[in-house]
Amino acid sequence: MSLKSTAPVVALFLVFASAQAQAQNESSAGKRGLSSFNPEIGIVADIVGRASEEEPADPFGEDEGIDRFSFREAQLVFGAFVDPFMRADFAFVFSDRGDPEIEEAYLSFLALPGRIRSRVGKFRSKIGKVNLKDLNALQFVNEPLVIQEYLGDEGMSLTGINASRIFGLGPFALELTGEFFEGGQDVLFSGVRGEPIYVGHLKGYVDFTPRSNFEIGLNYASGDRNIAADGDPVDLRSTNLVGVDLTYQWKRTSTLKVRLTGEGYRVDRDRRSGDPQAPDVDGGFLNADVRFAPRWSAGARYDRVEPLELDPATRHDDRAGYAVYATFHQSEFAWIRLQYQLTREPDGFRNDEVYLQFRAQIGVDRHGLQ
Amino acid sequence: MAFSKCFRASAHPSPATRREARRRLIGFCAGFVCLGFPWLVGTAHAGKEKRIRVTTTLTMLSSIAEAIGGDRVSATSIAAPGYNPHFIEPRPSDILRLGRSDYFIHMGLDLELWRGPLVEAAVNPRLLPGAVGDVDASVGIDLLEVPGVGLSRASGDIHIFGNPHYWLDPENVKRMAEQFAGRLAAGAPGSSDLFRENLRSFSRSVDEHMASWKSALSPFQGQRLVAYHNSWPYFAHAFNLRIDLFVEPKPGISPSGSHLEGLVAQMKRDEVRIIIVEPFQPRRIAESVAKRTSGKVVELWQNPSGKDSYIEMMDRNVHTLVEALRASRRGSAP
Ligand SMILES: [Zn+2]
Repeated sequence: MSLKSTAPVVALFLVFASAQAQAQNESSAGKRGLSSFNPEIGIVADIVGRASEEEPADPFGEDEGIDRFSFREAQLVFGAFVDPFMRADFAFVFSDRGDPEIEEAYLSFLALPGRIRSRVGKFRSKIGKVNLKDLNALQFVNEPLVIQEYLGDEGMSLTGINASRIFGLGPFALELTGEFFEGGQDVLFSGVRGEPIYVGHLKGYVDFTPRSNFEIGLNYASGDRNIAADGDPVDLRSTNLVGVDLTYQWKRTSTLKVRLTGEGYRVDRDRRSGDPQAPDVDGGFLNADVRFAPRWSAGARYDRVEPLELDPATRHDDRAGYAVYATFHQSEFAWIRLQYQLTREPDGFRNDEVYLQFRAQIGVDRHGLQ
Repeated sequence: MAFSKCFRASAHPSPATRREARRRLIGFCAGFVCLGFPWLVGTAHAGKEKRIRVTTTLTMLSSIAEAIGGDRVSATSIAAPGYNPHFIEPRPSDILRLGRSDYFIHMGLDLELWRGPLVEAAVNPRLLPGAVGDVDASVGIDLLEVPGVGLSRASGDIHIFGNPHYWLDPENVKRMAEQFAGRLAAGAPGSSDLFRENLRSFSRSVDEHMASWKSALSPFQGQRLVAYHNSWPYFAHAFNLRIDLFVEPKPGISPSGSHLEGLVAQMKRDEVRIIIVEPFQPRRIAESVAKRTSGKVVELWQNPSGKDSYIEMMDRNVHTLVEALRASRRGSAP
């Protein structure tokens, strides 16, 4: 390993070490409640039934809940302060259709100077709002088509490091985040580990009135995709994702509120000259969600996305989805949701689906604040 | 290895060199903007304000912090008084404010279910649990309804460490104020005399009002009342009332039809006529119960609105309640 390649690693080490040391001097924290090993524990049960017109590729296989009732996720969450300057958080997912998975596992630096927040480990990338949430914590049953298509069925959670900082600008609160991942995402990017993916996110937030607020996020992700045929040497071309997310929220009480959200993305891919494949594609979704009674909420979602594998000759063949859902909130910790979704596939196939979701949480909820 | 790979381009020239070089530049620029610029913006604000900056979860706590800290303290709160303190969604502006605060005062226990992630997001080492600026107001309070072994959410979603609405007993508020004075003085020894003096006059004022509140409520000793949520056991304890029927079947759980039927039957049987709601609770449900029991709904507050203090709020609560109790007594007289 050359001096040039080790220098940034050493520099990063020095920055973190000195910053944490400085924090130690400043805080002189009493260790009450921090030294004992008592991690916060939470478990989420997410059970989903799905009736669909889609034909399963293999009726006895592990295809995701086609006409079946499945334990989609049992999510186990642990979190604890390591010391007064660092926290560790873990989320494991078990399901009856696959191997257990580490969904997130990261350390958070809580005492960096300049109020910079940083994570290292495996975590959900800060792209839009939906990608930050666990599948079981969304306001609808499934990920919007654009997220499934560009970031993967369960969103994008990768290994890397990030840094973010919130600062005020007049009536606005701004948050700037930079992320660096080691690669390994094969939906949009090459899937090659060691081929870095960069993510940048700028969030702007403003309170219109004490009851209503607005948020805008600008998103950018950059990496490579592999265009070589199987068996050929890797041939990487740059792939960029740009996007915007908008959220408006009006809240009268905790149980009377309206939330309007939308996210839109464009994928811009570098091509070999004359290569007709991999045109630039885009997609997005719009969602209205209303909590109208202490125990009831309902909403609708419109999806549209051009698949990454879009045939450039017939490029208007996009996927479109229309979903409506209603949720019965047994309490803040348990809900039952019914969702109907119509998806129009590029080949003209109309898929009607009905989902029924049972979701219950025991213990802590680590995703309260994104 | 990812880190070295992204910086290796110039050591191993390849067709991808230009691309990687551009990347590296983007990375460094992003790094600079992320780390450097906001830091400058942040530090530009520092050092201007000399007052002790206190952020509290509830207006109740900022009201006391102001009473004790006087001019030396600027206190703001996160949860608006009209919302359920158990379920608040903190805003980015709150994170920002907490990042610049010297003290974070909260109710402790599981009152603010939203507290943990907020403190972490603020990246302020002074305010982490147990650190110098973290003030848990429940320290030293004798809690009511502390559950025995084996409690789970089957007993309700919240109040798992005991009832956390302890500030509705003014005696507890004196204890809280005492802790605040001590903690503020530890950080600003020069002002400790001021804090001690303010504490004395605050406690005196609480004692004086307490005497008049007690005498106003004395004709209604042992009176039974219904509350929407179990927020009032300390208030009941302080003024010798009995508030043990609830519109919610368990704390944090919305009422079902069958639970309301049972409540109506019991209110009729025991001639309970008054239902306490707080501004953020669904008054409609309480009104429908009141209609069926010829009862009355009264609105009491557990957090002062921005304009009044804790003492003014309690004063209003007591007088609202006394009026309603008098009216219901007249109504039921033959
Ligand atoms: Zn409560």
